[in-house]
Amino acid sequence: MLEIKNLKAQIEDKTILNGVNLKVNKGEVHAIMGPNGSGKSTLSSVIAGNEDYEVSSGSITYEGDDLLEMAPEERSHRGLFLSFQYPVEIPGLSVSNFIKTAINEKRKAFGQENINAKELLQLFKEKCELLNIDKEYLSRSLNEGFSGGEKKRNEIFQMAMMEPKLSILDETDSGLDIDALKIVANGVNSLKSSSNSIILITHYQRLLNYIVPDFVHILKDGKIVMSGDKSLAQKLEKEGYSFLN
Amino acid sequence: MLIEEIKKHVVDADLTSTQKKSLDYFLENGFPTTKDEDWKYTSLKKVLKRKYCLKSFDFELNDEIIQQYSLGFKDKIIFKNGKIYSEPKILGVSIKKTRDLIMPKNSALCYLNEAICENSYEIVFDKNLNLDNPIEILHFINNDNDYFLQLRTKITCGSGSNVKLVERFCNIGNNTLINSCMHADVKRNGFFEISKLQSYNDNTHTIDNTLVDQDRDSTANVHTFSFDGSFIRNNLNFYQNNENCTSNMNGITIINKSNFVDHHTFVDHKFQNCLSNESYKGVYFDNTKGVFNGKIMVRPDAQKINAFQSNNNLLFSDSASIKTKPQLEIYADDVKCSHGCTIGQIDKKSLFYMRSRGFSEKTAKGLLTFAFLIEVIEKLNTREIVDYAKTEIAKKLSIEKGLL
Repeated sequence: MLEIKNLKAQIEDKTILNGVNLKVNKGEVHAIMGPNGSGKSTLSSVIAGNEDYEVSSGSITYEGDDLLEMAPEERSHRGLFLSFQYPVEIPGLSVSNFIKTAINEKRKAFGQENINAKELLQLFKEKCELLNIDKEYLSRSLNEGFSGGEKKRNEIFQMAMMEPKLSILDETDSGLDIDALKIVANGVNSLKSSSNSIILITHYQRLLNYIVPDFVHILKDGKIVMSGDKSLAQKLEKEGYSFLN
Repeated sequence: MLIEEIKKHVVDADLTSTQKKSLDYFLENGFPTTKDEDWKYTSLKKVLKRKYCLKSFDFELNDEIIQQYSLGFKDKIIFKNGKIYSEPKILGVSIKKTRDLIMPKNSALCYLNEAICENSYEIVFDKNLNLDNPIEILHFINNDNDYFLQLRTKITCGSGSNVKLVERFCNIGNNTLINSCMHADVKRNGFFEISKLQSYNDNTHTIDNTLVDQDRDSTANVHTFSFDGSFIRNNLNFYQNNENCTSNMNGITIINKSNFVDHHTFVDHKFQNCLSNESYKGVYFDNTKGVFNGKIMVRPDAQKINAFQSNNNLLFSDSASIKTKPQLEIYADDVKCSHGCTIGQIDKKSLFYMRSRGFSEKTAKGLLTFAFLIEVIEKLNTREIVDYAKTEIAKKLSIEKGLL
């Protein structure tokens, strides 16, 4: 589904990714862990198409096509989803209108009619229940005045509504208390299927107790320095990143 | 040049002594220039360059044209080049001729209007009259030549009345410079609201002078929508002449091409326990220029005043500009006044966030801009006006209205 080859990226003149290689197949869950400043968020930004970062070499192929050639919205239409570490607040734009428009923009890209109101309502109802969200929250302004946890839950709510093929969850666990973490993890697990894939970016092993990865990669100084199964995360938790040295 | 035309025009006119005095004041001061503090950023030079005629002109008006400019309200007061053409039959609403308007004492343009305006009316709303629906005031303007037109209207809202108006200048002719004076006199416990729909064609240049006098316990709301027109200068003055008055001003400016909009507002808090609330938002595309100057005066005896003012602007182009200036003069000590001006651009992070959710750049920018304006739109309580605003905003943002 996604193949990253020797990816190098920089912001302004500072190189952050220094030859990343990663292959994600359908139905797989990958966790990317690493110390602060190792390039985890840069990797997710580059995959999503943030133009602040410049790709200096390497390639990303998504479903056989050159992902780096696609505009961010096209990547989204093709089924890519980034759960932001710091979701933006948009006062004056309601959660429901935001999600409805996102769904319709995708449908428009494929020449489909707008989603009908009944279908949308049903979808909202279903996904609200899944993530234990009060329906009243749909009429609030997007992320405005939301707590850190609410913002993260809103990201996963959007993910649930948009049913992406490849989701990248950038530190979705940070800012969540243990109850919220369980709800979010349950949500993500129930969205998981043999046809979609997930990349989890996280500092801590904690999240991986709830969303069990097939592969764990350690990113350091802009490179994946070690890959393994879920036991690698446990080892990290016990010994810290110092064992890498 | 225009001044010579004016002098010629008045030679045969039979002016009253007040008109003569006003004319003298105008001729002494002339049109304002950028040397006047209130016109520092607003030059009339280009607008005054044309050769305008001052003679009125009669023309045919039909329903089709009227419908084109109407928001669809049942009751309309229609003027043709400033002359009354039709009025609604509503008990408690009457229209008569008057020259008796109070306008700001320092405006040469208002004196000129006083001196040479031929048709000057008073629309009277009787006391305790409660209008269910807004009345539309449509000024149709047409002339064979480039035209300098004076409009002059007094609105009297009797005590306890509830009056909502929608005003629109509809130029269907050549280049026209409109100098409009409106004096609204809101009596005790009256409610007055006017929505000014400034969707003009490129041939229309307007100077819109509005003065609102308020008596005790009255409320006055002025909503100004500046969407199109090559040159718009709004002078909006509120005088709170007794206690417990509320004055609300809301403005949405969203302009493109090389259009120019200037809002000069003034609130005079003369008595205690009064409120003013002012919120202007502007969106500037292309080579547009905007000016905002909001002056709030709190006189020495005007205690317990709440006065809020904000002017927020979004610039969409490197060649667009806005000059914004709050001006507070406070001579009382127990008051609450606040003001804020911002000038910014669409937030890049928000834009990326939305694009990563599948929004095209155009839709994302459009919705972010609409979200920026929504605070003002939410203050509007008439469906037709919200609809008008959304239609015009969607047009400017090149997005479907259904998205808003």
